[in-house]
Parts: sequence; structure tokens; C-alpha cells
Amino acid sequence: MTYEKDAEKEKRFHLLVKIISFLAFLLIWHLLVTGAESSPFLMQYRIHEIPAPFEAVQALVGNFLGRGIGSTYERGIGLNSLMSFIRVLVGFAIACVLGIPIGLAMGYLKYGVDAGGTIVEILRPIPPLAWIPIAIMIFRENAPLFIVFLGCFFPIVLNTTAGVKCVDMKLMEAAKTLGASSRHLVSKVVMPWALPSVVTGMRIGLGIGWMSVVAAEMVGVKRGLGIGAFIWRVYTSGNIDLVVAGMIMIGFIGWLMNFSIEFTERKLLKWRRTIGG
Amino acid sequence: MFRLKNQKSDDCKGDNEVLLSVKGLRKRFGSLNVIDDIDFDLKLGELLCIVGPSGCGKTTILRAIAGLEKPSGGRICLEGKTIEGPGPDRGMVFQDPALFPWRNSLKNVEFGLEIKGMGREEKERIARSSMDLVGLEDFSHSYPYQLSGGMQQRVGLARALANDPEMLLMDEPFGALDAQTRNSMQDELLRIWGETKKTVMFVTHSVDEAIYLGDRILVLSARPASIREEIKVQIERPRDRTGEQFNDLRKEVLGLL
Repeated sequence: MTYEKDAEKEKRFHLLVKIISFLAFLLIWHLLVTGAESSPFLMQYRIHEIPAPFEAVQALVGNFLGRGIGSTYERGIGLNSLMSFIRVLVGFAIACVLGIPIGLAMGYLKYGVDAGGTIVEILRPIPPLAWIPIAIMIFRENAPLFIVFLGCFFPIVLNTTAGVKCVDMKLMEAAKTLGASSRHLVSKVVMPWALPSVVTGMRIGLGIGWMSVVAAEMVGVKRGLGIGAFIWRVYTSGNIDLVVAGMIMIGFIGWLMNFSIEFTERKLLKWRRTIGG
Repeated sequence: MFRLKNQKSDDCKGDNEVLLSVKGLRKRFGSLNVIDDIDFDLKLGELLCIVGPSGCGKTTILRAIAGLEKPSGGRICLEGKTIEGPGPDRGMVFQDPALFPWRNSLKNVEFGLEIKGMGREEKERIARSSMDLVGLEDFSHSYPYQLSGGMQQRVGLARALANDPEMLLMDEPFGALDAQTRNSMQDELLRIWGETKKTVMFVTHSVDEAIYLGDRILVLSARPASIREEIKVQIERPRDRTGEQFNDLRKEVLGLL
């Protein structure tokens, strides 16, 4: 009984700390940019031009559907973000469809790593953004999609391979003595065993994909839809409030994506005993 | 290919009482000679225990019978057919129970049936009766990490039994359990053995366990393993671990090790 009460109390305290720290963050932001107006030092760096949190949110809400703002970015943050979001989902999905089987093959087949390891290890350190020129050349307006795919692909491949490589041989043997063929071994032992690792790869990949889409859009689709392109356009027309509003949107969507993957992970992998319980 | 195997199995013919026969079994790992020319038979319904000094290769013999190790020489025949690899006709129970952590107990027990492509209802019916047999009917939905060591071993046993194998191969299954749990698991095994009439080959490093369980005990020498002595246990069941006969036999076996 007392333990439960303590747990309840602790839970509330966790929430409290979260809220307080977030409010403190907003307060510091607010004080910094409003205070900058009376500090020549900070003004020199144009800190006072950065919107306070409330102004940024106001700009975000006001522009969300794209009404009442100048003609260059009349389509609004909402639609631009949605476009980026779709790009990330499609790029991520392609990366999963290709990356998971390749990772499985590299991990499971005897000469898998010999065949694919070197190629992957040489391509992987090239940042997705370094591919932008080539991507624009080949894929034109679909360049950001390709960049997202690259960002997602390597973490998914590598984590899948690593997950497969560490499969417990005891379980493989147990399955064999129960009559499993190699097809069964893959589908009923190797894949479930590697799943946590695959999901980790997916989460890292999605994060990198979301980060690269913004940069790719800034360079790749200047006039089209996309939150990266949007931010670049409002910046060049001097609307810093909307730049920050766009950044908030990026952060918020990234947070949502991570949250939903963590949620799926908890549902999917409830058989794992973890520190978090 | 298959014809060749069948031809080879002709040498396997033996008498009808014999379920498993091991002939001239040898196993080397590189330059390490682990098993050196072992012969023995296992009768239908028998409970055979194998004891030997640790590292002597008793587990390797069991693994060879399971089909997990390829013999370097000799032959292992099950019901007149040479063993060529692992198969569901030999159920194995491991020391580390090797349960699938992502499956609950019932799903673990269903594993072999799933592979046979059995329908959902039949699969569940058999798995449930197997869980009943090991006394875990109330823990079907528990995941392995939620079970104690003894319970995990019961799930492992139920999983092997669900496949209705010709024989059970048990590799020090109670080795990691505490003394009390170990004793009660031995009684459980004897009860299940009595109910299912399965042929059991049981590897252990505990002389007491071998004497308590076995119809017969094979005492192995240090590596490379060969059979030092074959002992028929003539003590009435249930056996008294502190009885005179038990103690005499214990003295005899310990003297051989």
C-alpha cells in the first residue's frame, strides 16, 4: 500500500519536474530576446530580432493555414510541414522495405557481411547532405525523398545486422530439435530476436531522416512545398518570426514521431524485461 | 540421396525392444578427442542416466543423438534409421531452458506444433494438455522472465513433450536449480515418465540424481569419454535417498569417477 502511494507521488513529481523545466526554458528564451533590446552587445548579434516564445507561437498559429500572409508563402506552415512529413514517411518506408531484408541477409548468411559490410561502411560515413548535388541531378524535385531514404537506410541495415548476429544459438538449437527448418529458423527465431534491434535502427533512422529532409528541402526544392523550403523563403524575405515558427513545427513533429515509435516499441516488445519495467 | 540413406540404415536393424542404438560413436573437435568409441543401446520406455566427470563429453553424446553434433565416426540409430540431423522425434530439454523470450509459456509449448502446420485449436488443445502434465496450467500466459527457474524447466519439458517425440534427451536440466526444487523436479519427471511411458536419456553430473532417477546408469571416464561401467539400478521406486542400498550404490559410482 505504502509502496503504491510512493509510486503515485513519484509519478506526479516526474510530471512536475517536466513542466517546470519546460517553463523555465521558455522564460529564459523570453528574457533573453526581450532583454536584448536594451543591450547593445546582444543587439549587435541581432538577438532582439528573434521572436519571444509567445510571438513565435502566434506566428505559427497565424500562418498555419497560410491565410493573411504575403503571397510568396501563402500556402502556410501546415501544408509545408505535411509535405515534409509525407516525404519522411515515404523515404522511411522505402528504407525499411529495402534495409531490413538486406540487414537480415548480411547478418544471417555466412558470407553476408563479407558481401555487404565494406560497401555499407564506406557509404555510411558520407552524410546524407553530401548526396544533395547528385540527388538533385538525378531525382530533381524528389531529391529530398532520396536524402531521407539515405538517412534512414544505414541505421536500419546496421542495427538489423547487429541484431541478427547476436541471436542466441541455444534458441536456434532448441528450435531445430523441435523440427524447425531454416525457413522457420529465420521467421520464428532470428526475426523476433532481432526485432528490438530493428526497431532501434528504425528510430535512429527516422530521426536522421527528419533532420535531413529540412536541409535537403532548403537546397533542393526552393520554390516548392516543404518546411525546409518554407523556412528558407521566409528567412530571405526577412520574417524571422516565421523562421522560428517553422523550427518549432520541426521540433514538434520530430518529438511526435519519436513518441509514436517509442509507444509502438513498448506495445510490441512487452516481453522484454527492462530497467524501465 | 535418400536411397543412399535408406541403404545405410540397413546396418541399423536391431531387435524390436531397442529404440536407440549407438555404435562405435567417436567425436573429435579439431585435435581434441572428446568421445572415443562408445556403444550402448536404449530400450523402449527406459530411463537411462549418464554420469561422468565434468567436461568428459557426456553432453556431446546427447547432442550427437539430438543431431546437433555430427559424429566423427560410428553410427546412431533411432528405430532402425540412422540419425542425420535434428528432428522432432527427439525432444531435447536444455540446462538453460532455452525458452523463446518473446513467447508466453503456451506459445513456447506450441512451437513444435506450429512448425508441423497444425490448426489453431488442435495446437492449443495439445499444448494445454502438455502444460497440465507438467502442472503449469495456470501459467499459460506468463512470459519466461516471469517464471522461476523450476517453472521455466517445466515449460521446456512441456515444449519437448508436446511434439510427442520418440524419446526425451535431457541435458543436465536441473543442474541450475536449488536443492529442494531439484528434488521435487526429479519426482515430477518420474511421474511424467510414468504417465507418458517415454524413453528418456538423462545426462547429469550428480551421482545422487542418476541413482534416484535411472533404470540404468552409464558411468563415463574422463575425456576422451568411454563407458567405464554400466550399472543396473535395482532399487524399488520411490527410492530412499538415504537408504542403505542407495548409499552402497552411491559409494560404488563415486569410486568409479
